[in-house]
Amino acid sequence: MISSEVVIALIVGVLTGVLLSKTLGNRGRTELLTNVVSKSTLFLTYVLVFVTGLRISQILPEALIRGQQTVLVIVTLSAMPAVLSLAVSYLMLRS
Amino acid sequence: MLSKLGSSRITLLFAAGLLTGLVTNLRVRDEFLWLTLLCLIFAVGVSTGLEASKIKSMSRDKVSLQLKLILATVAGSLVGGVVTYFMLGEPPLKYSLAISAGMGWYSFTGTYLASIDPYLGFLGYVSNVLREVYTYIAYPLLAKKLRYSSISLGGATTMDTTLPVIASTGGAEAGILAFIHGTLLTFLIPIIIPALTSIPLR
Repeated sequence: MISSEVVIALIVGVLTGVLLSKTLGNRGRTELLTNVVSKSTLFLTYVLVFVTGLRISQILPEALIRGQQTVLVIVTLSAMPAVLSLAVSYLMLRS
Repeated sequence: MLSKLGSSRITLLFAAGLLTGLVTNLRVRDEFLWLTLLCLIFAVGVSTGLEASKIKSMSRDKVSLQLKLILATVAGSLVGGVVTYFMLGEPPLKYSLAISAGMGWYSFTGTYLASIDPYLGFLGYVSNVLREVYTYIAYPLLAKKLRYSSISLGGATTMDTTLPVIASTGGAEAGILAFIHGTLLTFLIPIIIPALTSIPLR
């Protein structure tokens, strides 16, 4: 249910973008629109980051109690995907 | 998408949200969070649609290179999630996969997972912020040796926040590849993460 909402929003967005760039035609107007969309995205990101902070404040005491384990999970979950992406990419592009 | 977002400004906003929540005990309705997230996804879709002509204009060689790069980034990230799960035993496999599939897009991953469980949101947010930090530090060191492969390190952030580092140290061609790599991943992430979290796994 939730994932279908996300996919629909994404597809409708892409179609809107393609349609708008064709309708506007003029490069200057398309760039203006790109700027407006970029600023809206920036604003929405700010709102989401703040709200995510609010939500996470609910579990902060629990995360602090778990301390060392939480840090280990975060470091591993951030480093492993980055390192393995790099390794797979290196192997694929070399072949 | 997240262009011009200074990491420090994001950190400050996140800290402000945390502090506000701790001090005032303010709660936000799930519906508001969802609506904002859907608006963000829609805006990302619009900007991908507006950039469609740039993506179409790539040469065939570059398309093949680009596809390999994207495939490698997604595959490496997912394998990273699996390895983490087998190393630490937490979070549950599907959430390990979902967090690693964030590929640096912390605002989406953190918010999406926080709507399932705030602790997962915390892990998703911080882990993906760190991926961006690693790219800032490691890309300039790896770019000469590994060339285009190093773009994979940045995941979705290569279209905005880490793009200046990539373009300045890897060159203009790496910059174009990185931008399209990040744009297409940003398009894929909102499909991959919800799909992973809906897998009937522990």
